[in-house]
Amino acid sequence: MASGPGTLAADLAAAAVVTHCRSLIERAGPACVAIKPQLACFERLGAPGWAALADVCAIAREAGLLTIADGKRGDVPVTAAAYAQSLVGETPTPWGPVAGLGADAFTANPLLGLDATSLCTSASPASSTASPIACWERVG
Amino acid sequence: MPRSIFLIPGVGAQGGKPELLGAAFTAGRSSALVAASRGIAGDPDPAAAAERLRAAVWEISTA
Repeated sequence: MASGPGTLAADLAAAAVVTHCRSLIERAGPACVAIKPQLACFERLGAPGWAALADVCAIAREAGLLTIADGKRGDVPVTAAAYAQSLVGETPTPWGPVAGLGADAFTANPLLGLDATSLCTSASPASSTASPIACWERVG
Repeated sequence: MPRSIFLIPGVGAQGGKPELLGAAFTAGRSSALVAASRGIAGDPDPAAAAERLRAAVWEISTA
């Protein structure tokens, strides 16, 4: 575990976030089909926050819920594809594939145009059993 | 985008009302996904809040 100022606080906060989300999933989950975790709320806790996000997604999957990573991602196509790999796909490396978050879908910011979102839905690995779902959210 | 799923945020704490969402479900109940966060998480009884919203959306969506 990394040490340094704030590390303990991040670990404790991340654990509290998982506890909170687990409680919500247990209570509200039966009336829902999916969770939509807001990525910034996890990312602001650093590495422990991202680990907490993965834990929450796993809890949701075990509860039979879909997961929609809500990050409003959007960029030029090659970077948009990297966002897709990190959230719903995997990344090939010389040492083997690296799994992403494993979400079923993610939100994309369409304000950069269709180029910014078209590759998001084609970046899922061929071996994936689930294709990402394009979720369109009206902005502005 | 007849095969796209519309994600509809803003219901609950942000002021959106389920009864105004009928048009989003013209292609069937699976054509839209209604998101509610604070309206559920901020309620003293999240289970009841989620069930109220589910029932309201089910009521206005077409079978």
